[in-house]
Amino acid sequence: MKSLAELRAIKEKAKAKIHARENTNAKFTIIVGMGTCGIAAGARETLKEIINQIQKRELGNDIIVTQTGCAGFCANEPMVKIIDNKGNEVIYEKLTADKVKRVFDEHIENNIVVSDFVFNINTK
Amino acid sequence: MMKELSMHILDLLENSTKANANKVILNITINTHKDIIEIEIIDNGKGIPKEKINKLFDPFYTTRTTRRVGLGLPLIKQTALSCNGDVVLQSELNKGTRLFFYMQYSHIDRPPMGDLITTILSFIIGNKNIDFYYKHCYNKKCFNLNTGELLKQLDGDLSMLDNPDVYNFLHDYILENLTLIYGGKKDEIFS
Repeated sequence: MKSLAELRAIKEKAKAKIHARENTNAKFTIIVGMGTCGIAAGARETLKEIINQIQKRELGNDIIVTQTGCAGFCANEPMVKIIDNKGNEVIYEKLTADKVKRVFDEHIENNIVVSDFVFNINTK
Repeated sequence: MMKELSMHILDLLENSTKANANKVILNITINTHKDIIEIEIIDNGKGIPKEKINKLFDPFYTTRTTRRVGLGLPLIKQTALSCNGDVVLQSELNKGTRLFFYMQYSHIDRPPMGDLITTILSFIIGNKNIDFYYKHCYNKKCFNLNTGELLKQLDGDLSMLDNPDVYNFLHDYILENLTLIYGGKKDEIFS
């Protein structure tokens, strides 16, 4: 049986990884729309796949994941906003779980916006 | 319609967030002998004025200022009614809200529970500042989880909650415990 006490060890390990890097600032913030419309369109699975990709690529210290409510464009859900550390924002639409991998391959890893999925872009 | 009960639950939990709650309780109780599933969400948010409570079940009553509940309540009401159940909403201004709904567990139209663990973890990650209590009972065997307990192990470091290693550990931890209270019937947790 697993015990919650194991969390402490997981935390120590994760902290050690963070200290091993010089720059601890997150490179990206990913915001997933989790209103009624987003959830019905599959946002929960999208969020799960984002966490999955972060783990696979060991990006836990580079990315902050958070949630927001309905943005008013329910037909375009699931919507995901990615903000880089300079403040540039890209909003992706209809980003179901199957499309998340491509966003990581291109946007997160190589800084190339995936124009096929873009809803809106705000650059600083 | 939502395909899974766990999607309804996530949606209804988010209502508590929008009501600025900092404490949210989720109780799921299944009794196969009585053939009933009961789900209760209690928060200490800003509450709903009396005159608005009944309007909230009207799917077309959704102006921005009252987006406190949105479409979520009419959807769950419809689902509950079609499964020999109902929804009860009690609220007191500035004190909080209690939402309770139940259904016939074996009803053919009852949506499956679906991926409840992802629902729980999505809510915890998205609402790190909320003190969340989750209790799940199956035929009187119960599993409890609260974020205060988790944070104690993480020395109060909220940012650790979306660390993927922590996420995966919690996923397996919840699954293991639910499997235990379901007497090893893993598939039934999600059905």
